Amino acid sequence: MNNKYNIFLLATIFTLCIFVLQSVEAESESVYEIRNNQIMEPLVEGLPDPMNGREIVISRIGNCLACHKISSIDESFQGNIGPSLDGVGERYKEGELRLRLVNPYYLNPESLMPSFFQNKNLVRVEKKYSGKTILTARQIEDVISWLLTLK
Amino acid sequence: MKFFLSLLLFSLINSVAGRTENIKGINDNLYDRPYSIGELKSGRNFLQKETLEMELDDFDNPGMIWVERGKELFNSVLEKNNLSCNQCHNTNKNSLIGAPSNFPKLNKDNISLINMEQQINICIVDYMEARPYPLESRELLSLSAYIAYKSKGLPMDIKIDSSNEKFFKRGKELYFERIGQMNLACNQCHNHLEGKYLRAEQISQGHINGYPSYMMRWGVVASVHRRFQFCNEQARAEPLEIGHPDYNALQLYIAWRGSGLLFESPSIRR
Ligand code: HEC
Ligand code: HEC
Repeated sequence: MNNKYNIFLLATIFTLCIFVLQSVEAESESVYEIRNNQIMEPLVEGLPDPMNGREIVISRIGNCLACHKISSIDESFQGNIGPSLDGVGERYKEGELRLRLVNPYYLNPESLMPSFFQNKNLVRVEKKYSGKTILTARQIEDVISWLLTLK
Repeated sequence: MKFFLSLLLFSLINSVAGRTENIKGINDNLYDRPYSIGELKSGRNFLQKETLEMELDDFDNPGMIWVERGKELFNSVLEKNNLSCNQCHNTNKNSLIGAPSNFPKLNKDNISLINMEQQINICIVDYMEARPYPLESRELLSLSAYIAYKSKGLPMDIKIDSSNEKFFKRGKELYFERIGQMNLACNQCHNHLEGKYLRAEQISQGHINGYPSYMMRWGVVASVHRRFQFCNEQARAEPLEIGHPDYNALQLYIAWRGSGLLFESPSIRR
């Protein structure tokens, strides 16, 4: 058999494999577009549910109160690492809130706020969370819809 | 052919690039400390009043049960060859007062660091020909807490030189490395957020002068490495094993970073 041909074949197979792998990853990867410091497009279609969003913010699912204070919520232990979220629906447009939840590093590379929609380029993720985003696209949209009511 | 190879290279590069490496402090001078001696604050400065009172009173401090048990073990003969720790480490020679400042230290093999608990096990195996205690066991932490208690009130004084600098560098790297699903590094909480609240917990400078420490949430005395595991879990990062070389490197960096503080084990923490 021709040696050159062999190498060619191997390289092709290898490249194809990588393409397949990448496209599999791409499906779970967050695809979004940032323009004017905003992500305009919702991450999923469908009507968001603000009351579910509220639940996520307060509970350990989103755990936002670990770092943020929201006066309207009756909960004694609220963090103060990030700014208060009071009035955040007035200060920011929907697309700006989406950017802050999806990619806080875009505005501040050193941000302590985690990206709630990142599942790649992370180091030593605990096995039970590996490959997963902190919140799903649906949950993020629900959270945004509730944050917009904070006026 | 060339086309395929470059494609290959491209896709490989693509899958590696893209992390946020850009963290304040890691590129500073290797020996820059976030706190000068005057600004150093032990974790005890951030305790609630009742917890602090409990820590300061040896009769109320539950960690003292470990110290007492450690003292007993220290003076008892282990297994067959009739030796106790006390026979080698009595007040006349090698009393171990101040010894915690030497840890983590280079092992005899010169290729790894060992911490106090690992050193105790080395003594047990090599000199006393007895069976080592499991890491994080009640007995081992009792001995470790007793030895730490002997140095209570002395300043922590960790020296970095050519023999341990390699580990120090590794420890600093780990301290600034963002890890876990939360993508957080130790320095982000402990170099910049002193006094702020994460839920109900006030964030301290993250020192280890109070370890082994009595942890109220678990009702036991815990080692420095157990505390690291807990902070890892908070960032949703895979914890390393207790005694892991990387945890020892991290411990060396953090001990140096807090040099000047006084030893306060057994401290009490949430
Ligand atoms: C580990 C800490 C942490 C957690 C958890 C966290 N945040 Fe944040 N957040 C921050 C910090 C710090 C900032 C300040 C901006 C920065 O540093 O990037 C911030 C900024 C924000 C802002 C912009 C506020 C402003 O006034 O500029 C919004 C909105 C926000 N966070 C919402 C949330 C929501 C919603 C959640 C939960 C789903 C959440 N955050 C969870 C730390 C956190
Ligand atoms: C999201 C914030 C956060 C991150 C990231 C974090 N910690 Fe902590 N850490 C805490 C909190 C909260 C406590 C408990 C209060 C205190 O003592 O500071 C704590 C406590 C500690 C303590 C005990 C201090 C004492 O006096 O008892 C040490 C040591 C420590 N952390 C080291 C680390 C190391 C090492 C890392 C990285 C691997 C790390 N922390 C990452 C929040 C964090």
